[in-house]
Amino acid sequence: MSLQLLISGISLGSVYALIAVGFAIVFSVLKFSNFAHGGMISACAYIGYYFQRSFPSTPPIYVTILFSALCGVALSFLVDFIAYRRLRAKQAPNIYYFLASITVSIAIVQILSVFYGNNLYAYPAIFESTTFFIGSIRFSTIDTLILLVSLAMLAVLIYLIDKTRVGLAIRAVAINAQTSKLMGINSGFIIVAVFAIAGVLAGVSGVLLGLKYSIYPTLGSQMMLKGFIASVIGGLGSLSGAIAAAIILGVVEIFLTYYLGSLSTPIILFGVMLVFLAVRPEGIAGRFAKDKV
Amino acid sequence: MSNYQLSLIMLACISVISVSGVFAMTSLAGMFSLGQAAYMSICAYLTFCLAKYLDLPVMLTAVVGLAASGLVALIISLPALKLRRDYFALLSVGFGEMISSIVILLGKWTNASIGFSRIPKVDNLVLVILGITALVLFMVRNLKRSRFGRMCIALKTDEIAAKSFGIDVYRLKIKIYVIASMIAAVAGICYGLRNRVISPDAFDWSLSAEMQILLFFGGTNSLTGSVISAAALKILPEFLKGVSFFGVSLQDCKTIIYCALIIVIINFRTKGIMGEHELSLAPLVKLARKAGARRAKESK
Amino acid sequence: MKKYLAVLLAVVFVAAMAVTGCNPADQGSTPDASAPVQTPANTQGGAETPTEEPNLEPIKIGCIQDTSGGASIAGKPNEWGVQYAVKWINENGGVNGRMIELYTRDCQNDAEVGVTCYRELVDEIGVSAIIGPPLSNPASAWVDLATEDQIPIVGHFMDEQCTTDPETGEAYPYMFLAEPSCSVQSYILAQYAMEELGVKTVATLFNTSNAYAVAHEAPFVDYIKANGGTVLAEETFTWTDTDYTAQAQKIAALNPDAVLLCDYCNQMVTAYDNLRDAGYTGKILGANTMYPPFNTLVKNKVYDCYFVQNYDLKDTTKGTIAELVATQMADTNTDYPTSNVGFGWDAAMVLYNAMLQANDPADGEEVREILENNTADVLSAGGETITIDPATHRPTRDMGMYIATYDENNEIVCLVYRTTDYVK
Repeated sequence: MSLQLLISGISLGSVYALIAVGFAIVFSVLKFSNFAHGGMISACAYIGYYFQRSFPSTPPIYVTILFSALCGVALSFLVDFIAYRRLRAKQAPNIYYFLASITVSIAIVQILSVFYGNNLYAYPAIFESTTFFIGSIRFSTIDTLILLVSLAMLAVLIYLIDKTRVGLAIRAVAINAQTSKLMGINSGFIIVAVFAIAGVLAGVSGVLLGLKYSIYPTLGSQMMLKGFIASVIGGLGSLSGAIAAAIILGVVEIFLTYYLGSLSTPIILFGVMLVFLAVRPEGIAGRFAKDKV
Repeated sequence: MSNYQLSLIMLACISVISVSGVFAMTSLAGMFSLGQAAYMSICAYLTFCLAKYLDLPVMLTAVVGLAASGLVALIISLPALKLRRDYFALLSVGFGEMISSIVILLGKWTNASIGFSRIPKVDNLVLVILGITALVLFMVRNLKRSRFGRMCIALKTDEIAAKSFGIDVYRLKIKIYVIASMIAAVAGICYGLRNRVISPDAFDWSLSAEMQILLFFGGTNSLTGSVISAAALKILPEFLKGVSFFGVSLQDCKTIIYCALIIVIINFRTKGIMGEHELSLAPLVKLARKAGARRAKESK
Repeated sequence: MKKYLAVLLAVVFVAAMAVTGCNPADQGSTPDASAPVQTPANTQGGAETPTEEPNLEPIKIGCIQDTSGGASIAGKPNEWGVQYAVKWINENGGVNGRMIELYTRDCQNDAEVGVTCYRELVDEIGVSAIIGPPLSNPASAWVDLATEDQIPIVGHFMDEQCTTDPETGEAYPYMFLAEPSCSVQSYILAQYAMEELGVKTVATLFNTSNAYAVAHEAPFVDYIKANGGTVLAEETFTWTDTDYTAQAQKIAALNPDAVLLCDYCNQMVTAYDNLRDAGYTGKILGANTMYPPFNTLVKNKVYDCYFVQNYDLKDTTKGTIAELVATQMADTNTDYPTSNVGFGWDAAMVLYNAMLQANDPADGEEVREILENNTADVLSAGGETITIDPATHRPTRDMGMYIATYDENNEIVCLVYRTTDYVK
């Protein structure tokens, strides 16, 4: 049973991981938790759904994911253009980004529920059966897919960040935007790149979450809190830390719920977070870049 | 004046009280919390449940509720405020979740998610709430101007510098957090008195986020600004009722309009509508004094 | 000096709040019970002329629904149903010649907003009655307000605590429910499960933060326990949980005969999928939210689902529901039929029936009196009759529910119409 629970926990964690990575990548450069990410995921789930429905025969799922990812990028730029661009120009403290992102998220959810909220939708199933067995352990097909996609995206992201020039620039801007500007890095471009990556992540997560659940306006924003918790515990801005934290969060949650019930979970989780942050304030992965204070 | 207008005034006042609590915390001490609504919940539930089950007057149980909220704030802040600001915000979210879980767990008394209803009617409630609002504002305003408040601002601007001037940052933060939480608790009581029902859903993190947004909308450094925005934005949706635009009822779109407004202000006037300005009566008083002096001269 | 200034500031604030003309003399008086009655209708109508001149002033009715909050998926069709009913009433001569003017408000599934909506409708617009939402939280806030203002509220707040005092069992004078309560629905479902499906052991999986779910789960468990069944587990989740795998695995391990799901559609879908994914193959019992699109949203095959339904949506021979649903789907671009359309219609019809009998349909007290004592055999959208029980302000027990299921083609089929006499 415990092994089965562990697997379920990892599955749940992989869903959180998908969201947490989106948080972490924006955090690493702009130093704020982009709550708008949740709203964008919902929007992308709808976009993917309408895209799929606009064809007489359902296109393969990767086409939908690709299209949704592209739209995610566009949406991400749009959000940046509307809500963050001027804040950046003014060099506003990151608390303003945070507020703007919460507001954008609420706005997206409301737009979806007022204009597209008459119906609940679901993507057509892509797998014959929803579970498969390895030995006596039951795996959820879609969760496994999500876990694989999260890991694949993480691998691509780590490659991007560690091995490419753009990645080097991103790291430099993340550590110190001002200095890296002086060193000739076009920080404007870097920020655009980061939002593009976040957009791709939102697009992919939107379709994947839509495949797992049904599509409704709060689909993505509902998970924001969990993503937020995972990305902070993981070490602010660290991608692999965020994924590790998300999976640990999923596992802990499943075990606590199983043995103590869902109502005691938030109480214990709060205590665990308090102790963990007090003992290891740099998060799981360690501080990506140290702050001055 | 109809009960409707009175109820709008109360709505605005509750919003003003809660935002002024957040003002003390965020504007003075630079703490950012997404869990202040939890204190509304703690205090409201304690006040009204005790009043019902022990048959005590609300006035008395309100004191117990306030004290308990302050105590909880103290206990939470002892470890939490040692952490970085980001972590503090995160923990405040977890704290809010925890409180609503506890309320549901104690469903036998709190009636869980169905809501604790039938809170007794209070006569002249609007005067009571206006009085409380005035009192809270007066307190917060004095807090801002006191030595305590100036220490807070020093701390907010630069924690290390503040420390080097001998300010005990940690203790100061705890004090402010406890005060802010107790102000939120007051708002919780008012909420219950106005709406006659309290439910765990009503005090979730989105309410806490709304308080923060209202504060920044009005201007973090301006108490009058945040008061005005707290009252005005809360009432704003009322003017959109029954209006239709291109076949879409604005009533349904009120939240969207509200969000758009906030985005515009945050972007174009980052300091908030009032910036650092405080509305004050000083010019008026000066004018009056001049007029008085002139009259005195004339009468001579 | 500064202190005086501060006091002045506070005073000015108070004054500013009151600038719209807050007159202290007003507030001492009892709540404006007379406000709704003092519409022009009354002042012009009877007093001047001794011979009864027909009063043709429109009657104002309020409608509060959640059209943009968390329950808007139910609130929108509900609102549409009320609007359609009012249109029908007006086209058929109104209330003894008087037209109905409908004012709809959005309460966002929030008690605070709900109170504001209520106050505006009652004090500003001067409605004579309100049609309420299928939500308990806002409704429980109006329980005392309605009594103070003498405004009858007819709605679908199914939780029994919205119509009767849980401690004394007495009905709240101005609150009326127009469909079987949560408890009755759960009893019907539990009774059917035990008698017809041979269910002995059950488990429940529900959202403790959702009043709707809680109000269904407790009576269901009561019934099962009282009638010799066993409740193996009562598993819970909250709004912030997105996955109920742990709970589902626990239930699957216990393997009860049936599992009760009683949430909103989204959560039901996830719960169903989690249960089936965890290997549970028994029966699933559902509340009336298990109607479509549940069958199109779940990822697993739909089988052995039994749930309560207010109407047989496909039966064109009985009632108006089939026509209502068809019109609403065409009107609002909705993809599937929703029972909530009928809820709005029923509440409006119960109110209309009482107003027809009243000498002055705008008199809240009189309408309340009739709602309580003389509401018998009002035809519901589903072709059944609604008779309000004066003791509880809810439909009498001869109003029942359909038990429905999904067939092999994933189509909804109503199996049987059942009532129950079970009282806790």
